Amino acid sequence: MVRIFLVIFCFLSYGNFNYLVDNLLIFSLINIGFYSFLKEKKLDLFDFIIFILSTYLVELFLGLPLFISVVTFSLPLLALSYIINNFSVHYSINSIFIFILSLLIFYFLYPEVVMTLKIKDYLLYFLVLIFLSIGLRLDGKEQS
Amino acid sequence: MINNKKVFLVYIVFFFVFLTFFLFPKYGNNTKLYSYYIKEKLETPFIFISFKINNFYSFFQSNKVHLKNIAELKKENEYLNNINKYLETITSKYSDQYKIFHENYPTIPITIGVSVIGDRNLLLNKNFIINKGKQSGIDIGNYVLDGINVVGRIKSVTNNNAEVVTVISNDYGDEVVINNQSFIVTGTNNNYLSFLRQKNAIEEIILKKNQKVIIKNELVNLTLGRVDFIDKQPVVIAPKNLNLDNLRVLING
Repeated sequence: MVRIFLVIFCFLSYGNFNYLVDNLLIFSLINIGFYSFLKEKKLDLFDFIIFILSTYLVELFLGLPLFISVVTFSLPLLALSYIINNFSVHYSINSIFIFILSLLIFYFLYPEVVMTLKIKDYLLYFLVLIFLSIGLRLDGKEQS
Repeated sequence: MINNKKVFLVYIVFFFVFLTFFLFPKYGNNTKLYSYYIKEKLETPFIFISFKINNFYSFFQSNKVHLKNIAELKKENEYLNNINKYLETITSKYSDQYKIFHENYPTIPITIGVSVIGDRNLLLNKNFIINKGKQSGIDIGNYVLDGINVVGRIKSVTNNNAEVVTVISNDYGDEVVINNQSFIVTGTNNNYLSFLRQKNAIEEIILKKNQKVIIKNELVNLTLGRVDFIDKQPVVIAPKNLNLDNLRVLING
């Protein structure tokens, strides 16, 4: 539910603030998508729909062909999910992995933005990492 | 690896949706447009609320600025009141001395402060309306001053308002004194007044630039402007933009 709320928030906020916030919203949407897909080995429908929704918004805002991410990324991400969820690692490692993966995708989408980021902008991006860790931790507690 | 049938079905559906959008871009574009339409509609109440909050915040900020200005003006007012008291003391001493020599107190010209309430831009004619009239003691022919120079004269008056004809107006004419010699001047609708004729003069008078043009009054001499020359013709130069912010009407002159 929190993710749905965040996706709607990103959908409504995009374009109403400055350039930096818009980039952060795109980055957050990528993170939400990866988080939904990679948080568990067994992918359930709700997580998959959130993944579709968040990637759809990224495609919408960046002018990419619609649903291309669902089609191209689903199978590689399933494989990746299978790998990382079979290792019993700390949730913070998982969150850092998701963060770096999102940063890579963001770099391919916006290479010039990532290259010209200032240190205080990086700090804002690390907020997303913190929320990822919190999300994974709470999710783990819920399951246990 | 896909251990959920529903997820797989959804994937298949979106795969075909993607193919459709890819092969028929029109549908993809329409979907994007609808998405933005929904976004715009959903945003509307939030934008309205943020606009209201912004307005309230700016109102609050401007209120703070006004309060600060009021505090500064209060201080300035206090300072001016002190100066006024000092000047009153000096005047009373002068009055006492005057009484010793003349056996009565001097008549001090009385002025009242007025503000412009109409035709401030002097667009249609060169007259304007002030916020005081007969009830405040204003009468036709009273001079209106901006502190230094004469701005105009009262043309017509009602109980609460009066119309002032400015010195630059075509309708303005007055007797002035330059170097103890009387002249008649009239406004020209420009920023100067022209000389009509020299009053009671037989010989020709030579005027010099920057000579002070004075209007003789019963109690006080008022300054109208200074002599200048346009195309070798003497004129009385008035300020380009009349200062209408701090006007006073001389009511007993």
